[in-house]
Amino acid sequence: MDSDIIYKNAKARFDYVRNQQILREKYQAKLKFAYNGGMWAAGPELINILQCMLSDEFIVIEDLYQNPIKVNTQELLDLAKTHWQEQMNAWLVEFQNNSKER
Amino acid sequence: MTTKTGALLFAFNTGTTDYLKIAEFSACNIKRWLDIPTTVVTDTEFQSDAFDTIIVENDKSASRRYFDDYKSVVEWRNAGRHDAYNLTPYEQTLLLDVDYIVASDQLSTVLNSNKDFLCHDSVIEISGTKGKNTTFGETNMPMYWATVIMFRKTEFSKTIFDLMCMIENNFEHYANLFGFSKQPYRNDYALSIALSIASGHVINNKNTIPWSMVNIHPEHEVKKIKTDRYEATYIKTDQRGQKMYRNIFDSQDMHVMSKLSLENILEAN
Repeated sequence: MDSDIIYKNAKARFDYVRNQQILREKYQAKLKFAYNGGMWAAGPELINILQCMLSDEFIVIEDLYQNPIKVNTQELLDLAKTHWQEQMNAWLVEFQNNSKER
Repeated sequence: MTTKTGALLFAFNTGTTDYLKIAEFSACNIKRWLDIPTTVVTDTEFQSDAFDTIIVENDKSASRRYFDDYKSVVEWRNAGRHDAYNLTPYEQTLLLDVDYIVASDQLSTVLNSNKDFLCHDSVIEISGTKGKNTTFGETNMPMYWATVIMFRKTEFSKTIFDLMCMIENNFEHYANLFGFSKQPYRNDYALSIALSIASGHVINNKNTIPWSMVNIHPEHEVKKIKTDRYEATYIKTDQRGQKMYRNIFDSQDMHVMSKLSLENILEAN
């Protein structure tokens, strides 16, 4: 790499807004997971419906591909909560690192 | 994911780009993050520990395409992708372009899906200065990307690849029909048309990967900072002129379209 490019790169501004948008997309992707033949997005909507239906061992809900899937309510709830919390925590760490980078 | 799951790469060297070297880098990343075997399809007899299987195929016809990073029209060998169905040694195949950098385990979600066929239908363009290519041609056909494809050996997948073969063999006809340029041949267009036909011309999300692919255009430079950490630089123009910006990608898969950047990444490896 020639010195001009190194100089230019060193002068390049960190694109904070764009980086945070891309970071959000990254974690939106990471919230997706496969379970019992369906594809799910861990998040408040999924967690809430599962929490509401906990009295039923099995329920049928629609997955991301608009297919009805029979799931074990507790099992999917545990997976969704774990997955959601893990990704939210990781997002926060990277979000804060980006703010420092700025 | 089945035990017969693996990745398939196509790498045909041209006068300007050593695609086999890029494929080796890709295979190492796939092994590290997804822990699946890799097969490469090439036209050159060669040895490499990076791949589990090497398939030598007859020379595929080359087309020519302008690349911003080279600032010239260069040879581009992208034909014959429809052979993937017959060539793959796996029951479940992850077919990747070698310029797609695997820097996370994100694609394991795709491999854990029970779908027959999945590909991206949306992209994030990192700088926000380029179009998202959601459609193509005068008829605004929905665009599907052939960069990342997961398929199982099923009738549906076979239909898609058979259709891609038919479209490649009659590309000029389809270019006229949908109103796009007949040169160069584009796998993305062939895949999009094939998926449309196989789905009965009904637009749906049944075969789409449920997140967007990160796309970095050829004129945007990417360099490796350390393992799985990359920096992309690009120029944005506003009322006060042009400014250079940079973004950091940490453990994030991305489609690096600049072959020069890929070669620089390999040098830094």
